[in-house]
Parts: sequence; structure tokens; C-alpha cells
Amino acid sequence: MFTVIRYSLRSSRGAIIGWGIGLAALAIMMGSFYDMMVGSNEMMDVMNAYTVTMPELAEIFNFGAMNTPIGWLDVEYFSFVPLIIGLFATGAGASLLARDEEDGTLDLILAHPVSRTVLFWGRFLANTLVIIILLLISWASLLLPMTWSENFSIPAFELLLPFTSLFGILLFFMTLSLLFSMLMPARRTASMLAGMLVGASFFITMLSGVVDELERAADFSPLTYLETAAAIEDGLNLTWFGIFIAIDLVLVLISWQLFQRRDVRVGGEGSWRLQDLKTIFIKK
Amino acid sequence: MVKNYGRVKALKGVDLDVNSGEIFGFLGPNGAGKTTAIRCMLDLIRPQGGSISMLGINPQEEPEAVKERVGYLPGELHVDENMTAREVFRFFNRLRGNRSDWEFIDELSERLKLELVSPIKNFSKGNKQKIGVVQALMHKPELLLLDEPTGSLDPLMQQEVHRMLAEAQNRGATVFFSSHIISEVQAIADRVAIIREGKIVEVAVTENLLHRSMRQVRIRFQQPTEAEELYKLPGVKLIAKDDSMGLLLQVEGQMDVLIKTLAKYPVNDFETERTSLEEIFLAYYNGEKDK
Repeated sequence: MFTVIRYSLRSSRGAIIGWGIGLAALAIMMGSFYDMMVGSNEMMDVMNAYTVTMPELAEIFNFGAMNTPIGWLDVEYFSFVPLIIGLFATGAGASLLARDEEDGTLDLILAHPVSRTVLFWGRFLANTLVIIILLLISWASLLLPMTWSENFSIPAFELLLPFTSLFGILLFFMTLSLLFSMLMPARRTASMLAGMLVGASFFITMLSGVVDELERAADFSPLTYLETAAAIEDGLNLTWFGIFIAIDLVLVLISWQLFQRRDVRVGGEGSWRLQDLKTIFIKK
Repeated sequence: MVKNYGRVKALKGVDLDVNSGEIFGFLGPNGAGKTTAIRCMLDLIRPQGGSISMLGINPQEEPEAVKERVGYLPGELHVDENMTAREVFRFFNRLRGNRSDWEFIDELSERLKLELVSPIKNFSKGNKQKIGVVQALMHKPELLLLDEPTGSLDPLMQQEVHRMLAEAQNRGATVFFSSHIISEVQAIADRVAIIREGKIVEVAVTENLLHRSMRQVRIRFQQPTEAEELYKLPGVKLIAKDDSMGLLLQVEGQMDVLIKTLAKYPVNDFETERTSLEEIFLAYYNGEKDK
């Protein structure tokens, strides 16, 4: 298991470095801009004007709360970062095993005395670690501007809570994409479908505050349950976090069972039909 | 074994016994089912029917126990191309619990002139194939499953790999290899199976197959002769008639009857040539020896 985790992390080095730098730069930039924003009367006037002239837009982006560090992060950081990292999570989930399968490298790895279970869980843990590392980089990068900022300050532990909530949802996107990759004919199809669901969840959640028709749909949108400012102010809702972790676990267990029972494709084979769901329940 | 991919019947009932310690050639053209059979043996794909026992173990029930003792070379080698050959060997060695002897790995690499420290993405197809050969042999497995082991190698390297397989056999290993290079099978296999469209059509000791196989007989008479009775003999087939003085015949089985019949005729020249495994193989594929 350790060898599988180690080599999976090694092959994710590029993703960790690339995404880590991007997310760190974004977090530092957003943290640094806060002083500029609260120090500018003109900017605050513009925000206040929005709440009067365009209340719907102001509600979507919660402009009224931007004069506090928590509100600023809620609007300028947590409003779109889950979409970005969510897309990364779907890509990671779809690639967990299907990329090696399509590249043909899985064939030789599984010809060694490593069980499908060890390979599956080793890869899953490695990818989960990659997501945790990226979230920790983002968290640490938001703490960094607090060292020089006069106004931007949130206790480190409390700032960790929105990232904890985000972790549960990212894991949901990753495991959903992983499940799709076990069922779909190709990794790209799985990644694309899961990515579309992330995008749909983002827009439904964002617009549900102003479009009444989307309110019911938002109940089924994972990002609706992302806690950002609320987690910092009132603490993490452990019930919802627990529900997401439980769903993640169910999805990953189904994927594991599918991987246990399926044929491993030879590199280059492209035209596979949808895997038969009954294979989950019926042992060959 | 029976294996279907949807409506495609890849293996229609492959029945094989491979003896311990032998080099067994598995001969067939692309798409005949060679790779499918080998991948079933390693539990990479699951057959719909039949059973497999390797080294006394059912690979579907105890895949790791089998793979512990097997070395596998896939038909097309795919590895992480950002790694070097040494890193690939280290990775596979770790998956095997660090069982391999690095001196042996270095020796195999040296014999195949394999560069160990450059990234694999810079390698030619032949050099990648060498990595596959070394990783299959490096832990001195009891059973080698090799899917077209010398496909991309130059003739010198092919011979080196043949020597390595012979050495593995001398150490007690069993070698099961698929190939469509008939000369290779003829050169190193103790026994051979021919697979056609998912069915085994022949299993034989390579030497016996060659001996009991067809011969071509070229006869030159001293004068124009019809000699129709010659190619009406059982097992004899007329291939060509060269004016009225010469005949080219294909003879399957014993030559005795043909020679005795021919003794009645004034013969100027008589040449016989045993068919190669390639011709036997082609005969199966041309439907001449359907079973």
C-alpha cells in the first residue's frame, strides 16, 4: 500500500506544484486586496450603491458583507474557488485508475503481486492527500497576508473550518467522478460529465438566491451545503459534513467493487460499453 | 477457457496443458486470442467459462499468489515515461517486496545494452521492450508469461533474449510465450500450440510437428511421363506440373509408398524438402488442416 501511495503522489508532483502555486497566488492576492478595499471610501460607496440600485446582483455576491474579512473572503474567494478546485477534483477522480488503464500502464502493475484492493485504496488515499495538500496550501496562503495586513485577520483554526467543509464536497466530486470512470467508456467522458455537474451545482447554488425556480434544485446541489462565513462565525455543521463523508464513502465503495469485478482494458482500447451495474451485486 | 467481449467471441474454448520446465510457444496471428488467453491467466480479465490452474493455483481465486511467482511481459509495454529504467525496476521490485537481486538486474540490463538512467520517454520502441524483458526476468520467476517478447528487438537482441529464456529454463522456470514470429518458436520452443480464431487447432512437440509435417517433393523424369497414380496416392497432392517431365508434389506423412511407386518410373532427379513451421502454420490458416 505504501509503495502505491508513494508512487501515486510522485506522479502527482506536477499537479501539486502547478495547482499549489496558482491557488497560493490567488489566496495571497485576495488577502492583500482587503486592506485596499476597506481603505477606499470610493470602493465602499460603489458596493453600497450596488445594494440599492442592483439588489439582486448584490444579493448574489453578498456585497453588503464585504467590509469584514469573513465577508470579503466569502465574496471574493469562496464564491468561485470551490468551482476551480472542484474541477480539479473531478479530473483527479476520473484519472485515479482509468488514466493508467487507458495508457496501458495498469496492465503491467496488476501483473505484479499487488491486489486490486491495495491498488484502488492506495490510489484513492494518495489522491485524497493531494486534495488535502492543495486545501492546506490555500489555507496557509490566506494566513500569510494576515502577517502584514492591518485589517485582514481571522483566527487560523476558524479559517480552517470552511476548508474542512469544502473538503467533504470536493471528496464528493472526486468519488462521483471516480464512479463515472468505472462505468463510462472513457476517462474523458467521466471527467466531462462530473465537471458539468460541478458547473451546474455552482450556478444553481449561486442563482438560487434570486431565482425562485432554482430553490428546490439548490437542495440537490452539493455546493449549497458548503459552509464558508457560517462555518467561521458559528462553527462547522458536523451533520452535513458527516452526511457528505458518508455519501463519499458509499460512492467509493461502489467504485471499489466495480474495479474488483471488471476486466482491465488494454491500452488503446477505446470502444467500451457502459459497465453493467449488476456486476456490483453478482459475483462472476 | 471461454472469453467473450460482448458479441465477439475471443476465446471459444482454449484447452491447454503446459508442462513444468518447458518452453511453450503459443502461435497465432494478430487477433487469434493469444493476448486474451494470457491476460485471463493473470486475472486481468475474467473468462466467462472454464478454469485455469497455474503452478497449482487458480489465479481467479488467489491472483496475488500466482503473480508472486510469475514474470509477465505484455505485448505492448507501457510504463510511466518520466521515469528512468532503473526507477521502473525499483518500483516493480518494491511491488514484489524487494525480492530481486540488483546485481542480476544490472547483468540483464548490460546484456541487453539497456540505458538505466535516461528518462524512458527518450527511448526507442526496442529499448522500451528491453525494459519489459528485464522486469519480467529480474525476480527469477518460476513461470514466465511473455506476450511477443522479441517483437521490437533487432536480431542480435532477439538471440540474447532467447539465451536468457534458455537460462531461465535451466534454472527450472517454465516459459510460455506467444508469438507470430514462427522462426522464433521453431528455434526455442519445446512444444507449440497453434491458436486460430479463439480455438487451439494443434498442440505438438515442435520437432514432431516438423517431422510429421508435409514435405515438398520435386521429381524430374528422364522422359515425358504422366504418372497420375503418384498424386493419387493417399497423402500426396499435386502442386505443380512442369511440362510433362517434372512434378512438384506435397506429401504428408510417410514417404515409403511414394518412393516404392516412383521406382517404376525412369527418374532423373528427386529432391525433397521439409516444410518449415511457417508453412504448417500457414496451412492451418488457409484451412487445409482444419480440425
